[in-house]
Amino acid sequence: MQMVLLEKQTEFTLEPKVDTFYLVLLDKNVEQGNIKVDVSFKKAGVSCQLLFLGRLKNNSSWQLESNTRHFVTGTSCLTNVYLSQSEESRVDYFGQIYIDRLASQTKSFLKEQSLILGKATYNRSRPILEIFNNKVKASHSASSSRLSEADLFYLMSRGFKKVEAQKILEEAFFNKVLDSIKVELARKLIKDYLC
Amino acid sequence: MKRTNLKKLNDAYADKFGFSMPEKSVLSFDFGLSQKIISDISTSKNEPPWMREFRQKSLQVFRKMKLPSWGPSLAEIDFEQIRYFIKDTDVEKKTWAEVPKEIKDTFDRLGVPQAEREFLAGVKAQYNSEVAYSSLQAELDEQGVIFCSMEEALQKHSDLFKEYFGKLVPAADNKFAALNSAAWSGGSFVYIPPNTHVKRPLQSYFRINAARMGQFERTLIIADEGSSANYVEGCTAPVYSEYSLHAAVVEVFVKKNARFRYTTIQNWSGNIYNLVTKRAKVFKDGVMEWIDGNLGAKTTMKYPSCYLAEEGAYGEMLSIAYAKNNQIQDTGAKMLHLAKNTSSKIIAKSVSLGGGQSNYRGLVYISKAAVDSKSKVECDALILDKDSATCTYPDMKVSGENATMEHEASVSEIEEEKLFYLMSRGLTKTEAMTLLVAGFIEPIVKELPLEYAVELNRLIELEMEGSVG
Repeated sequence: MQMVLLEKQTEFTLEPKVDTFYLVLLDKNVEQGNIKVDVSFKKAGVSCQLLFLGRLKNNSSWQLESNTRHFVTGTSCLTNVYLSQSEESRVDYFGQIYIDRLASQTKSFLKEQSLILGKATYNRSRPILEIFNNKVKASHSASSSRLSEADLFYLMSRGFKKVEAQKILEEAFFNKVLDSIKVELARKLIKDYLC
Repeated sequence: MKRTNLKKLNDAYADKFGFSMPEKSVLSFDFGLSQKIISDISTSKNEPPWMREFRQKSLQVFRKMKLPSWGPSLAEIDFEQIRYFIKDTDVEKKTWAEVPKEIKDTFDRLGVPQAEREFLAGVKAQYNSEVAYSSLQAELDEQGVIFCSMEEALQKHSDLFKEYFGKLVPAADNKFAALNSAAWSGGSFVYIPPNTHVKRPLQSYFRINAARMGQFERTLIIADEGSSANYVEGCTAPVYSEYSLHAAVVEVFVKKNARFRYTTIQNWSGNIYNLVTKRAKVFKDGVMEWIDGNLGAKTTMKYPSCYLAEEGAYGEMLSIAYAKNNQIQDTGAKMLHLAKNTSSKIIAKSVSLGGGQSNYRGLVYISKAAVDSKSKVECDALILDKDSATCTYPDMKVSGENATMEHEASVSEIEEEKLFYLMSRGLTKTEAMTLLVAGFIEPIVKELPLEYAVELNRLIELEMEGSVG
């Protein structure tokens, strides 16, 4: 599977011909941003992963959109959106999975997770499924939650300051999805960028 | 779906619910909507000036509002080709013996008197525009429980009625709420006094017996502090080639520590547009449960909601949508968390077959004030053939500090492995699929009153006969 970093633009229109891993890293220095990625499957049997990763700093605001549209048989896509949100940050995510009447044997999944670290955050999520074929598997999930108080308490009882404990747990949150990146160098670079 | 099986299914509906009786109305207005017709409805009900004014203002709002720009097409509805009021009895009857023969025969065939004897605390039976029959167990009457038609409530409990009517669903909420506010007729008024527990269900039956007719019943429920009750409504209509319109409004107030369950089994015939606005306001530590079964109608648009207005309030929605024969079931729920420590749960299951389309459309809003609130949404859809479709349109807005929001949705066909296992045990493919579909919706079916659960399973059996091969 080839890996492609989607950068320097706000809108991407993609038609993968081979198995591809698309990565979107939200610029942590940006206060207001928007990114839209359209992936259309028109070649049978192609498989893709689309990953959005971002640490939203204080007062930042992002609009994110992903549209994965399956028009032919045997394609698959996994979309992951992993975000952590600091004080007063805002995110509005729209994620569509469309499976056409002709696109049998499709598998398409979407997962959005937001980890809320600060106060007065806003998170809007609209994961859409539009399925017009019965020989498919499709799902989406979205969750928005704070750091576990029990985990924080445990780490602090081991001597970590609250800020350090939060950082460890935030890293662990991103590690859940970074593990899906098989190239070790790429994984390390992304981790360094994020944390 | 095979043509012979489709015919069998339609025949089964026609036999049980789709029959019609000769129209013998005592009062019926012309087709179309006008200030005069609205005024005539008010006059026929001997309404006070404030209600007359409310209706006329709502008509103006209706004229100004547009049809929804989203969702299924409603372009076929011609509001000037609908009859807005048909009255079949002169006064509401208190015993079945007094009810006109055609109406009594209708409800006999639907099994209403039998259900009343065996299961229910009270019954309302609405035929076209008005309630034809009502009853309430004597001991509940003595406890101060009110279960009557909206018209009777407006006359006999006017202060209570005026305090709550239209306060949760204003006329300007949407075009069909405005239409209902202008043309409403019939529906139930329920008041449960503080700390009163109504153990057996209160039930309403809604029946449309005319083509190109609009039924606009309005239901207003107040569950006072510490009370609990269970309300069930069922809807059927004859099979006509022309459409009819059902646009109801339901308002439920669940006071502090009260608990209310509202169950709907909608099995309108395939010529009905079912466009309903249902909303509940839940106060401190109150519990509101919507159970919603959508089996019939041509197009349904219905998204019952809970306004969780005070600390500790809880809202729940369990729904089944069954879309067949090119039906569109556009259903869902809305949970608005407006106070701290509120929680909600939505479980929606749908089955699409025979070219039907089921859509889930929902909103969860956790406001800034709703700290420590929680919400969970699960939507599961089954598609049984290549002609059918399913869509999911959730919207989740979370601002509340320490709030937790979870949403999951999945779409799949029946798993081959499970099918294979059941068939290897000797079941036919149809029997195996029927069993798996029944298992899929079982978590919601078990919450239904027994007679509805049995009926739903029977319906699925009938429909699955046509879905294989």
